[in-house]
Amino acid sequence: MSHPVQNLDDVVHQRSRLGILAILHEASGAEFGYLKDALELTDGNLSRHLRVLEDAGLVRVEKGYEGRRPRTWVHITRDGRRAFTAELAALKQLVRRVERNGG
Amino acid sequence: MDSVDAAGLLRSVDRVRAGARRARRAFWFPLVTFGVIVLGALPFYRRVTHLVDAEGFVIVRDGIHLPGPLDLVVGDLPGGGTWASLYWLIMLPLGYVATAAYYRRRAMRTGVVGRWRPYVIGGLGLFAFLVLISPGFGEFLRVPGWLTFWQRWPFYQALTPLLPIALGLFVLAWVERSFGLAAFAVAYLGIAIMVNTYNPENFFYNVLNISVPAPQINVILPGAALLLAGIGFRFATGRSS
Repeated sequence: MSHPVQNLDDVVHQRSRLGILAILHEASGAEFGYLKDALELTDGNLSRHLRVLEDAGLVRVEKGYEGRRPRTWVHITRDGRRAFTAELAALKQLVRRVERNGG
Repeated sequence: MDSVDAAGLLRSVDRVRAGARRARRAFWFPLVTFGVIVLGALPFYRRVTHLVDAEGFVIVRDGIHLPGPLDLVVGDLPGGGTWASLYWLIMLPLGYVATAAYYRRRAMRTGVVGRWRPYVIGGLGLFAFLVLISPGFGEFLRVPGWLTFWQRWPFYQALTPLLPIALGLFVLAWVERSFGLAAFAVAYLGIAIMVNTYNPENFFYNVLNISVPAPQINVILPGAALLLAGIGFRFATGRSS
């Protein structure tokens, strides 16, 4: 049986990207501004993380307008849901294993 | 990576997920909306002393409640059956449209999109199914009697406009991931079936010795339950919802 660390996905595992997927897993979608505030990121940082997730096929980004105001909506893909669930399971397994082995 | 890092990461995931859940949850709105819609049907439910046919002969005496919540009748009952049917046919779909509009508006405000589509589509689908199998629709389409055999089944009486509302709550509890709402959905389903298969006036009069308006009590109970639960959930989940 492989060590749980081997099951962690580098793309998903990064703290901000995991946070983005966690929010999107909970809702049908989230707006750029909400993600930025909830994860305390700058515009540039969030854009960079979204590009990584989008390139990996884990999120879908939609740009639109509300009146004259541009708004960017981000949605999780099926692969994104799967990757997030797998990452969460690997993290929980890691915590259990280390605790069982006495820290 | 060690367990401290992993546990910290899991805690921060839980924190942002809880925040997103708070931002997207708005199930108090459909509860209040449908509570108001059910209570709005009150004027159409009243006791009549008799029914008279076209020639003026009394055909039914005393105690008939017009219409029962099920009666999506398209025409021939005097005393408001048609109006009640029209009310449900217009207001129930409107309730779902209002819910969809509210969730969309809320998503624009909070930046988090709630999962309302399965609830709205499921509720409208259930209501359409109920209309299709109702006696009034069968008469309207002149469907032969043997094709409407289900109307003779004992539980058919429990099919009512309240039923799509009740079953819709289970879908809403699932998409909103709310145990509280799921518990209320179970209770509400019980109320919806009870008011269509039993006259609660008997219970109030015989057990509690309270005189209540009948048949209005059959509408007041499910309507008030929805309204009060909606208000309760609204305050319990705070102003963010």
